Amino acid sequence: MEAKKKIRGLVIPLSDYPHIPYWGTLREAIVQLNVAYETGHHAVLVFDEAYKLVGMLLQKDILKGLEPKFAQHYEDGVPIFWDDLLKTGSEKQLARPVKEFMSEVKATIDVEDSILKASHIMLQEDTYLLPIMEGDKLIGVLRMGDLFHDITKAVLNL
Amino acid sequence: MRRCRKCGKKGLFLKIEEDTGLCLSCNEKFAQEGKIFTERITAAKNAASIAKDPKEIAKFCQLVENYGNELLALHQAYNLQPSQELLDLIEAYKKMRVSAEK
Repeated sequence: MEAKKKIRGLVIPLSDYPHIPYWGTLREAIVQLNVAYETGHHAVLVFDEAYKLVGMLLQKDILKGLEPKFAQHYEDGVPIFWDDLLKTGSEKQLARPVKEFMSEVKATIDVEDSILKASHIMLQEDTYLLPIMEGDKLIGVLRMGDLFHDITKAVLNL
Repeated sequence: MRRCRKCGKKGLFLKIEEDTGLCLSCNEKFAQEGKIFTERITAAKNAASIAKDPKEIAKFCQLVENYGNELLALHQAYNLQPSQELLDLIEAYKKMRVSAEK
């Protein structure tokens, strides 16, 4: 396998993703995500007032945000009246700012790093989107789907 | 001695925001003004991404550029370095506008 294959070819520019400021609501983010769904971009990038990337709102963050707080403690099955609780509780959640739900940028990867290193960082950080740096410059993001495709293609050709 | 990079206020116990190098008062003003432009940029950007008509696309791209440049000017007024994300966004939408106008 091309263990040293670089991630340069997998860079997706930030402008391809939907953007939202950190004070935007969860409802606004969901609308943006649904609009972008067909493009294959399953995250909304979150920016501050200086237009600096401060986080990413992934599908899992939204689902976590919509779940009633107490339900997070249920490990076996779902409680009774789940649907009603989801409906009434989510109205409040939808009006809350995305900064309460977003995943902060915990790790980045250099454009010259290998696809295996990127895969390792994604697994360690439990994320499927990783900002890519070129020196000090943020140049885009890397998706786990693209990485998966590249790595598995290389594995099959061994 | 600590000094605000916008108003020049200085003092031993002056609180300076680490990220920006501004005093709390200037930082608050910058954040308030920056929020307005950031909201406009994201709205125009997201509108451009769903527009189908090239004229509409060009119009929204132009708005992203304009609001982006206003946010750049705000950075300059506060002696701040703009983020790479902002510079790239303006450049990307400039290219997109030119291609939509062809």
